[in-house]
Amino acid sequence: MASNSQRRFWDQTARVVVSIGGLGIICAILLIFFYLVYEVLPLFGGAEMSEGEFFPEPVPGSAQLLEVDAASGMALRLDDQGLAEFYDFAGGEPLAGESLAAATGAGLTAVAEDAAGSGLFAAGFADGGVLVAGWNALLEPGAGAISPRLEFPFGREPFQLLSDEPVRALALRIGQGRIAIAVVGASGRAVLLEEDANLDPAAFVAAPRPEAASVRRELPIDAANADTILLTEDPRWMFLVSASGELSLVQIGPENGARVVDAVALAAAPARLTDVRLLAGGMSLLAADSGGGVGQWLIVREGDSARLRQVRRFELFDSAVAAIDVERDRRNFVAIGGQGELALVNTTAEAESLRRGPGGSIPRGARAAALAPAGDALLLEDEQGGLSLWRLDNRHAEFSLSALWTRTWYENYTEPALVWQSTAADDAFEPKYSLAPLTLGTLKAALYAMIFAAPLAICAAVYTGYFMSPGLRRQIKPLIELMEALPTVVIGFLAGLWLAPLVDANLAALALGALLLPISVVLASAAMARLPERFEAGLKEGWQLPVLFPVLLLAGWLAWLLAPPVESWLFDGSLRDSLSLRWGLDYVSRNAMIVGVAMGFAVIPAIYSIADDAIFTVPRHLSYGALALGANGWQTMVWLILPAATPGILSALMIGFGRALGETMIVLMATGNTPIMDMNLFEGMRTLAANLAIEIPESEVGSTHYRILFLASLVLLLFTFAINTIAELVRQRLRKRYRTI
Amino acid sequence: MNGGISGWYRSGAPWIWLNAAAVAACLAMVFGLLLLLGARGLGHFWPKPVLQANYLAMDPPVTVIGEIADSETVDAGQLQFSVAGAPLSGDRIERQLLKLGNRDITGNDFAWILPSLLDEVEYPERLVTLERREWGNFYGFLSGILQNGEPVAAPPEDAGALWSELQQRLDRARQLRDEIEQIERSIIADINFGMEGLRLQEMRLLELNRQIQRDSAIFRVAGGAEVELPVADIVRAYRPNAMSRFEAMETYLARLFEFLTDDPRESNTEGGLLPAIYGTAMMVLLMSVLVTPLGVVAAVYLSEYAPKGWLTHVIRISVNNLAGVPSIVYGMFGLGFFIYLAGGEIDRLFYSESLPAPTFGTPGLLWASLTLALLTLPVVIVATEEGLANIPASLREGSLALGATKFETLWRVILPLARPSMLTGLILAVARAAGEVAPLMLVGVVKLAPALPLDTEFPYLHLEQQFMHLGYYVYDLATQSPNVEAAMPQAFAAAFLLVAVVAALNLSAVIMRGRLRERYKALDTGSWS
Repeated sequence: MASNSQRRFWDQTARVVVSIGGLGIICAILLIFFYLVYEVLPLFGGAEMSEGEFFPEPVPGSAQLLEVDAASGMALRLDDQGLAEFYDFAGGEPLAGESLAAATGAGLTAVAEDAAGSGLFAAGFADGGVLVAGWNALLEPGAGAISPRLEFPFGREPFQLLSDEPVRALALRIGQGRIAIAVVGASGRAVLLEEDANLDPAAFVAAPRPEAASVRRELPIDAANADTILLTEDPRWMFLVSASGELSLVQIGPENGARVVDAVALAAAPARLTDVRLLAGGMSLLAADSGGGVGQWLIVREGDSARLRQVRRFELFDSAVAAIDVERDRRNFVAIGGQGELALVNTTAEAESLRRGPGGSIPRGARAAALAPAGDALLLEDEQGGLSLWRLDNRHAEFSLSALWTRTWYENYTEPALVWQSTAADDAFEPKYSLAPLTLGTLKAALYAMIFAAPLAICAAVYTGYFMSPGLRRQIKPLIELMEALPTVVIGFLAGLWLAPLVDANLAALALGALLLPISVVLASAAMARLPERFEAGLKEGWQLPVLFPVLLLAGWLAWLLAPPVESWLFDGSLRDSLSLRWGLDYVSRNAMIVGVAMGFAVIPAIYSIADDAIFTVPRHLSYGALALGANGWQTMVWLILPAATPGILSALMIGFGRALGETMIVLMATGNTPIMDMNLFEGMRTLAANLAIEIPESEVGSTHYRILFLASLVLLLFTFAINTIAELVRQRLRKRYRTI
Repeated sequence: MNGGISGWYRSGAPWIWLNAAAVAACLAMVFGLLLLLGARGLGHFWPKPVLQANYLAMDPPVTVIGEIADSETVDAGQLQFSVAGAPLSGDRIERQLLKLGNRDITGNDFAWILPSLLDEVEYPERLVTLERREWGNFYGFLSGILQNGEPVAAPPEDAGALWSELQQRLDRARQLRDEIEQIERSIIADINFGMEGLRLQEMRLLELNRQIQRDSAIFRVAGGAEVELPVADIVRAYRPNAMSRFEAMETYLARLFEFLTDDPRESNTEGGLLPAIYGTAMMVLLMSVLVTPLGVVAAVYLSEYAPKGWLTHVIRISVNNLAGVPSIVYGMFGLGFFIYLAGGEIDRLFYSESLPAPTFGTPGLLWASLTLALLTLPVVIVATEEGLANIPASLREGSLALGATKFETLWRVILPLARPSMLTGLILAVARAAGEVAPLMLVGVVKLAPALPLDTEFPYLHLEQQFMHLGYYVYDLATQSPNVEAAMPQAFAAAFLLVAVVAALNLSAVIMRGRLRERYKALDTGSWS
């Protein structure tokens, strides 16, 4: 036997070890909360901007084009003389430039960046020629240390779109194996050139220009006012913008057709237009004005034609917006004010991720701005010709709480909508992060599951908890609870691959069965009531069960037998067809009804088990009292037991609902997983949980999409946790009350 | 009670009956589901008769040979496009799914047909069903055997002799196949095997592969064409129409055994699911090793050492409620925290030479077990704590009164008594873990794992490896399989196995818990049993 001091030592050690261990383990479980929050928090952080790096010497002239590459810290500037120069912010050394004007011998008159984001730009000259060039840092992103130089993938020979007429406005779009250049000449002629061009980004060389594949056409429109033109994808649409702020939308037809389909004023007087840009994706146009606002104009299709609609307007500054620029892939833009204001805005999310007020570190009088293609750097030029580079961390610009829950006007939509569509093959795809369809889908699935499960589970609990003999109850209850143990993947499998086709083929029989089963039960009860009393006296409590099985079977068989004649009599032969023809309800095979039944099956035991306990534990002397006063069994149940057990039954329902909210496999396998905003019983849904299972494996770690999925799981966690906690508290209170009775 | 209709209604009898019907419906659903799974899952292995008939829907009628895999009654109108020869209108008609096999010859191995259009249905005794390593089942008549391309001397009219000849050659091929697999396994596993031995093994392998290709058999298929099949590709050959009950039983057991002990074939739609059973068991075992001590320590702390205040109360409710948090949330946590954060860090520290290819920073066995351990921790804590709380206070007080310290009381008296409740908790945890799929989809399971997570290669237990899982196997077959009809029987069998294991675990926990309660009651009244 160890000495007393040793024993005391062990006792104390055990106390410390168990306490630390126990607390540690509990903390580890609670870690799940904090980790989810930790993943979600960066979404709300907004953007960060480092202090600016200033180029030592001022640059001459005014910039026609500014481009910046964040990785190398280098910028390209094309001035109004046609001189392209590179600026290295890391080294500070001036680098050799190249004059584009010298190459052609004519003066530079217009410049346009490729609206599709290839990194190429076009320069228009006084002799009507257009030269397409690019900068190797943007053409070959992530190449590391580079010596900057201009590349001419289409050769140094200019495209001759106009003869002997200066190019006044110019637009370029490269993509889908084609290059499209549109120009407006000094006289107001508009010309569009389209050529097949397979651009090899690595070699900076396009395939040779075969004459046959080139189509040059005059557009039959009057573009005398146009000072800026912009081309959309295909190109099917062209924007003409005048200096005074008039915008015309031109629809370009397949042959020589082109017509102005709509015209609007971009800036309301007295504000003047200061800058226009095409937003990533090419379907909407940003117009900045001297009133300090930026409007987003969207092409909204109306049948064959289209209209321009200002879908959003951002009132950013008190003074004029001097310049704006857009990112390549995301719907982000930067706006610069004359007094040193800056705002970084995402249009889809309708949220500012960064704002600097006047008098900050941003130089006053900025006149040009350029965002790096990935939005990770900003280049500014002020009126003294000072260049500055500002590095940005703006990863989660596409997120905002309002866009998560409210209707948003997306591109290619005719009205604001609630849509979840997180990924597409296209880089310039506009992600649509609305949790509303997923939340509705979750509630829909849970609701239909509860509609199926709640009556069955509670009725079953009423019977086993009160009317059945305790001995029989002890045997029946584990059997029903066994349902809970069935793996949900098996239930989902049966629902999707066995039940769905079965219901598909026997919809009418099922509907009829739902009607016939209760009726047959009531009839059986009436029939049994006719039996002589002494016969019944010999039966145990719970004797109804063996009688009922054949009755239910018989009713089911009758429903199956009667379904075809009833169907042809009432629904012209097919209930399914009648659903869509008469009531306009779409029917898909894996629908909410299947999910309701399958998930209902999975939550019945949770509801039943707790409700049964609540009913069974109502103190027996209460019901004995009622029975002694002359009430019969059912009256005691309805007027005494049920009211007493109501909190327990409510808590059972809540726990069942909580389970249904988070169930993944059943929904995943028993529905088509389409995120729709519809409560139709005969269509599917996508739930939050199923969405997690589908999308998280493909989501890039740390991206906005990834964090939004974590936000969804946090919402799911908090919601189920809250429901379960309330249910638990209700149950504990109930237990306490029973003890006092 | 016999007071006419109104008396009957006032007595509440119809309501009581409806409530009873709810119980009956619940029970019917449970047993219906188990019966359905059992019938479809276990019935799959029974050798089914193969019919031969003329199908009149085509012009001219064609001969079909196949098994009836499924049948259903549908509206005639729905069939116009899916079944050849369906009437344009009319009432509900029966259609049958015929498994035609011979996928390599005809292209599709299933067809819906109308039984009313089958003519001259017969079940020829000489019809052979072949299970093959590739291309699924084959049905045909054995018409010859070739050895090295030469016909074997067996009288062509003596079908019985030909059949036993084929069986003998199948046995030979099977033995050769076993030897080949053994050598292949040893070559892969034994890195320390000398170069010389390796060369010998490879020579032997070449020789065996040559030998196994020796025989082939010629079969006549439904259209009358003759097809030559290498004997080495045949897993099993039998004549279902000629079988006695006993022989059918033998084949049934053999197929069941293969299902439990063999590797999957044909993208999981055939063969066995040993890797899935093995992966599930490994994962559950690892999880149990992790969850039991952690859960017990936490429960002992909560029940014995934690101060009895509101904070402990809150913690207890929280732990309890974490059991109701959706499992996919745990999966998200496992993916983000264990795999990307912890796994990524381990890779950076210990496996930097193989970066950027991740070693632990990718889904795998260890992370799956940890995630499920976290998921089932509340289950173990709650069950253990309940057990600790139910131990009569008199025992504890008696021990303390005799001078034992708190720890000694705990160690010698309380914990031994609570052991069964810990076991109950563990069984419930295992049952839950074995059936969970949603979190595993994020943290480690795959459709097909080429290697087992435990083998004879150092370090024997490969914690970073991905693994197969029974539940995911069902999910994959049901939703991702290109040939759903062929996958269904296998999915039913796997689902039945899963349900059987989980239900058995649960029932044992329930029974154990019931016994425990009785025993505590006996303890409390002082009568030791």
